[in-house]
Amino acid sequence: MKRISIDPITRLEGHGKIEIFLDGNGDVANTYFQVPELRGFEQFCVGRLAEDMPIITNRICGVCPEAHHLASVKALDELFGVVPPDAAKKIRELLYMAFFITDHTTHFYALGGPDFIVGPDAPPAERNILGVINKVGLDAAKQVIACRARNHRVIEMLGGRGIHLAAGVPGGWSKSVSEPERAEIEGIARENIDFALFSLKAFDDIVLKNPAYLDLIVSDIYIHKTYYMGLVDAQNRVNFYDGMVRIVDPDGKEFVKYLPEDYANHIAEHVEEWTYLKYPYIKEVGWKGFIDGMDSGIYTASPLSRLNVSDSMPTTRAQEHFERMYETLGSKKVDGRYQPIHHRLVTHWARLIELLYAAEHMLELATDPEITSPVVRVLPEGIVGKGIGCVEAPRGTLTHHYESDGRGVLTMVNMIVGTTNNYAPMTLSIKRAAEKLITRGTIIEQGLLNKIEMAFRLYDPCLSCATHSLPGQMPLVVNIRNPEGEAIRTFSRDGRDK
Amino acid sequence: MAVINKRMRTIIIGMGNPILRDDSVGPKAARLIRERLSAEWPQCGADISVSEAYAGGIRLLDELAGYDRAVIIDSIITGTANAPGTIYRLTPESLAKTRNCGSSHDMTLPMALSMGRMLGMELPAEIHIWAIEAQDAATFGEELSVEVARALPLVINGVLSMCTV
Repeated sequence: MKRISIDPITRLEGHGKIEIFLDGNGDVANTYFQVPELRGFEQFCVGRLAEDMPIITNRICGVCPEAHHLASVKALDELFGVVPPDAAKKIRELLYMAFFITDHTTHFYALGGPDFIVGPDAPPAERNILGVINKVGLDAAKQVIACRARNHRVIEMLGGRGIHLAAGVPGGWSKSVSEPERAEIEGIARENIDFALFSLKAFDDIVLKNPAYLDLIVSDIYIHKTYYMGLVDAQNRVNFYDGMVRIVDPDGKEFVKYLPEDYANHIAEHVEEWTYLKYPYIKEVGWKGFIDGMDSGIYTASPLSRLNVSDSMPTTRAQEHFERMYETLGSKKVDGRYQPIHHRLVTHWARLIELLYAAEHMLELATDPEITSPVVRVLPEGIVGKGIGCVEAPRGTLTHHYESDGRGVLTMVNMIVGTTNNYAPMTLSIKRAAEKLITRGTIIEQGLLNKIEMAFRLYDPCLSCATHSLPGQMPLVVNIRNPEGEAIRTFSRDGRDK
Repeated sequence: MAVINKRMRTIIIGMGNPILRDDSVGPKAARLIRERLSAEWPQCGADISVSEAYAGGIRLLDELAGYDRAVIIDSIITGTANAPGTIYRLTPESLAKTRNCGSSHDMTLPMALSMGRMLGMELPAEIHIWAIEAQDAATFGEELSVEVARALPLVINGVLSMCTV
């Protein structure tokens, strides 16, 4: 069996490695997606005070500390048996919208953007943020930077610090919002709506109006029919901060809807010997291997999944774009709801619709009279000893589960992080892309490798995201190995052929 | 006592995850440098800022904006036979040569700098990177490995001598 190794994956948050094994005919036999996992988080936490968790967990990851902070404070609300005042929930949500806007913006323009805006077949040296700027223009790039800056300001204003937030506490939030702060955030929210609409228009002009890109989106390289997961509100609409977990089957029918604290009844984890990663799957359906379809318990939790599980969007303009996306992809309504879109590259579009929703909802919250209420905390008076907090991280459903003794000292910590949900779908996508693009020993070319990378980049994975040690040598290397596993040829991303 | 060079606005950034063993060497260095600056060079406050960060790419760009000189302290895994605790002095350019397209976050530092300059941001003309070879940057914990702990005072002294004349 020949082995092709792509290492590392460029523009992926964290470091991963893809191994593609070819059979004797030069066809893809198997693909492996390997990630060096961080170790010992549970041991690090057990024995510490539960109330320290919002500060500890937001240090897990430099990319989405806000998601961990909020999942953590929600778990602590339960662990201490306290219900935060409405104003505190709204402040948490307001901060979270600002975070989603920065994160989705970064992904679209810096990570996913090069694939579409610059093009999947563009030379590697141009397929980066600078290429995006050349294509969309300097003014647009300035808007991207300005968008990030103003929303970081909101995060800092509400969260106490720009990174490593400190304001979330069990039972609420540690500071209220003043009227001048509220007014500033309202202005920022309005700018965000304009920016989201601008981004959707850019997607429309550059991607949807380009037949080659559209063909790529709808091609069967990037289709998987899995189950989908996401949080929904009481009206079964998208919700990033709260609600019930809804899972729909590949035909779009609701399979189950459960409270986040019941996750262990519905989700199990499969272990493979070649990786430390665990693959979550739907318990009631079962693990059937790396295959999609109704009989396989593999599910996806992504921006597209969140839209697929929802009946509608909670805000008007996001709803318009939601309908347009499903209509464009030919999805029909069954029982009043669109059937799921299985074209994985549409996740980029879904991300922009979520960007618009986050901006619109931010404006709703910033103009809510209750947002400046001084009542932002209820002091805990006892300890329940168990708490499960769940939010939608930009890259998937995030669950924190803590248990403590009667003094509030942690005895158990478990987390299912956003990206973990998507390990199995990512593996599926990589294999499918490889199968479609490598046949009968076709010579691997740069565009081809990029298309394989595109298969998982769309999930916006954040792997081992806390590790950012400067890598000394990280050229993209492709090893082609003979059946004995010896490298017979090595390519690197910059075109050098050794 | 040395005299601070006041002609330059300098930012010293300790990068790394504060709870990931050797990856915490950057933030630890930043904290100790801040203490020593305040104790030994109290007059330097206006000229030298010290911060901790642990996201590269665009977020790092925000930190660098507005300064004439930057010193970044971080852990590194070179994949070479060099021993843990080995100290490297790098520039963004030398980093670019070794990293190529690789990126652990949204973009590489050289890419972020190019973008920032393209957008007209005021970025440091001088960027010095001090990197310390990590022994373990994949296990949660607050302690450094012995080798990296031994390198820490050398890095702190080196950075302080560089930033003070």
